Amino acid sequence: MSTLDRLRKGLAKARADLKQKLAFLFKVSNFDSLFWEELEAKLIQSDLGVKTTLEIVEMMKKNSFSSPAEGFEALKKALLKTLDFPLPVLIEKNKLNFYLIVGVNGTGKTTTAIKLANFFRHRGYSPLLIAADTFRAAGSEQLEVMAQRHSFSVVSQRRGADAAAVVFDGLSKAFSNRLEVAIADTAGRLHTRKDLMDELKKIKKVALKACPELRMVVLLVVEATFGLNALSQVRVFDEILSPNGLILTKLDGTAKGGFIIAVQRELQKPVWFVGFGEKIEDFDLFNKELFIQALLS
Amino acid sequence: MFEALTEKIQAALSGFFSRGKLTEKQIKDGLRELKLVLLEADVNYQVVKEFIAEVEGRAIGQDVIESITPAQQIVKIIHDEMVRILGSSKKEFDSRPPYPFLVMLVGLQGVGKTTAVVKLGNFLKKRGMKPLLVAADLRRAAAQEQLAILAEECSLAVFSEGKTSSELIKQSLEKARNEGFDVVIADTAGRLHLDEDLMGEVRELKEAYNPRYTLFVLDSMVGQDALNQAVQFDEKIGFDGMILTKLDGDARGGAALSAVKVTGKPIYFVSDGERVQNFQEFYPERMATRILGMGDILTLVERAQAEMDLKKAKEIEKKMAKAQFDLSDFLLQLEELEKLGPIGEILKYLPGGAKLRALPLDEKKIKHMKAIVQSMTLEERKNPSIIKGKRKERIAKGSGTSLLEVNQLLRGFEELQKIMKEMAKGKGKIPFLFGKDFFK
Ligand SMILES: Nc1nc2c(ncn2[C@@H]2O[C@H](COP(=O)(O)OP(=O)(O)OP(=O)(O)O)[C@@H](O)[C@H]2O)c(=O)[nH]1
Ligand SMILES: [Mg+2]
Repeated sequence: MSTLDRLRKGLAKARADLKQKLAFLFKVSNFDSLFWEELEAKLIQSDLGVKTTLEIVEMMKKNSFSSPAEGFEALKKALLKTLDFPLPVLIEKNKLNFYLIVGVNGTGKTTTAIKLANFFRHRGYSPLLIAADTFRAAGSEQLEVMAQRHSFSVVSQRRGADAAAVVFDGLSKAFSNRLEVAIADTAGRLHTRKDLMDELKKIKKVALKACPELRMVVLLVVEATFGLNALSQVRVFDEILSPNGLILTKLDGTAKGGFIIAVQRELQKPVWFVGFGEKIEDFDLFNKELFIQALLS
Repeated sequence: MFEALTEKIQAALSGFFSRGKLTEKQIKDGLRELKLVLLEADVNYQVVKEFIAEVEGRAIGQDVIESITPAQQIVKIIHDEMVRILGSSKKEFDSRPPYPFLVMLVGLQGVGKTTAVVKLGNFLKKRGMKPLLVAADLRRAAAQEQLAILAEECSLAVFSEGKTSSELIKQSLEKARNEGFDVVIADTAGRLHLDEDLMGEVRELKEAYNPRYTLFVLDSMVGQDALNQAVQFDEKIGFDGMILTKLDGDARGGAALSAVKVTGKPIYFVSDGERVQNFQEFYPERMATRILGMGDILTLVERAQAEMDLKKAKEIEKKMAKAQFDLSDFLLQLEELEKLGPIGEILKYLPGGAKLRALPLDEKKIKHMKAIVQSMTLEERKNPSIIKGKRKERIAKGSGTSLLEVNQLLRGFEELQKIMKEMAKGKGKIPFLFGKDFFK
């Protein structure tokens, strides 16, 4: 059984559990204070944060529902609405599509770079990987080893090399080979480190210079286990790099990544992909239905 | 919202001079704000509920302290309670013989275990010990290389030969015995608490090699899930303490409180930077303050309480209430401010201290302000509006400052008086010394 199937199955089970739980929740027939408290607890425990939670609860309170099922549907609909963003354009034809993967330390950037390469391979492209994490010890080796395991080509340099130079190299190679996709892994960095954030800005600039026909896609990797600090991460990365979207990883754990909803109130950052395991196939396009179902389970 | 909330508590806190008795309503109001603050700091919902209930119990039973405001008292109770929880299980990391002993680091993927292994090794080396690091993460690509490179950078020995984690640990312990290493620190592969196979694997390692410390590494950016992670690692493997990582970010770190509260296990170390030296012992006080998001406000409150001459303060308070506060009183205040210590220090303790630090307020400035007031006649101090051209020049000369500075002080004082008039009209408590526009 593939991991995706497992995820689906897990979700099916979650859905059944959910029905039961929420049935309980919404059965509290007169929607008393206990009911609202339970709902509040549920949302906060999924990392939606106080602000967003209170807004949702207020919104729910304004409506009157004739049945638990109706209340549940309304809640789901409201949450789904927050995730109403246009479908991402993955590839612009006849251009070199350059995916730059960024994020704080340990969120799964390197793994995601490989997963993304695999994703594009399955759609008929031959992506080139660029090991632009020249900062962390064995950062580029990690990508090289994984790339080799799955037979992807990688461009890399020694540790301590200028990350922008590696990107330049990689893009030149991708361009001369007429490739349509290149994916760069970068070193993890806390958004509070201005110097390291500036380095990303430089990479972006150099990339645009490296090749005129470039279509740049910056994706910020955040992990589901994060709490509200993720908001601060998205905010700062947005200011400095304006990423096109987010990748939400580690959804195979017990965390729900509810901060994604809170992020939308403020910044409207679409989620492009999700990661849900360590294996290369544990990766897919973001599906808001599944996400909300898991969130409420 | 969060900003507004802390400011609310802080605003209440800044009122150095008003005091009263703790009523049940005040406690309830204070705790409602606290609840929101804690949730925004990512403390787990369940933990927040329990914590609030405990604090409430304590607060209601408490005697009223004469010299501080109710808000101060509530915040102090909250802070003390949090320090108590975070520190109740605090123990010294025991690095005494018999040697060699084993330390094993466990945790989820990407939390910073490998780096923490090297940092802990370096920390113990600085204590005069001889550590051996074990690269027992055989799952993640290049994890062994990562450890080897980092270890070399600070001249630590690494062991990495073996086909299984178990083999690696076994042989490294042997090597340690033979070659006189004091402590063996093992990295392990990151794993999810849901993964029964992998959790079983570490449990077996633990049973086989009986580490002195199994340390759970927790990322300070984790949200509500910290509770699940900590509980399940503790149930399935059993750990002795924790290392909190990535504190150099701006996460409030509520995860720490969640994890300590539900497991009762201490945090031994914190990691706050990418460099090997960025690794310290854990201080409950600092963490509580960070989670509450209020600078070391309480330290300041305590120092202020200890050093402020209460009688003088009372008099000034009365005058303020009647808006009769004049420059002589102001001089007294400046002297009190000086007594509190270097101004930079004090600002650091204040919420929003960063903002205040941007203001040109330093010891020198205070000295000048004092000198200016001291160069005024009593009449002038009582009635600053009479200070015009000639008088200004005299004062500037007499105090060795400039006309500009004299003007600034007068304008600032005017502002302050306005604020106090508002206050007298009962428009709420306004922080006195640090009135927002005063030092511009
Ligand atoms: N369970 C789970 N683990 C993941 C997922 N994605 C990545 N990981 C694991 O998380 C760990 C860190 O992943 P990396 O890809 O090295 O993370 P990174 O962001 O590149 O890390 P740095 O470069 O050190 O900042 C590895 O052990 C990965 O196998 C996921 O979706 N689920
Ligand atoms: Mg990486």
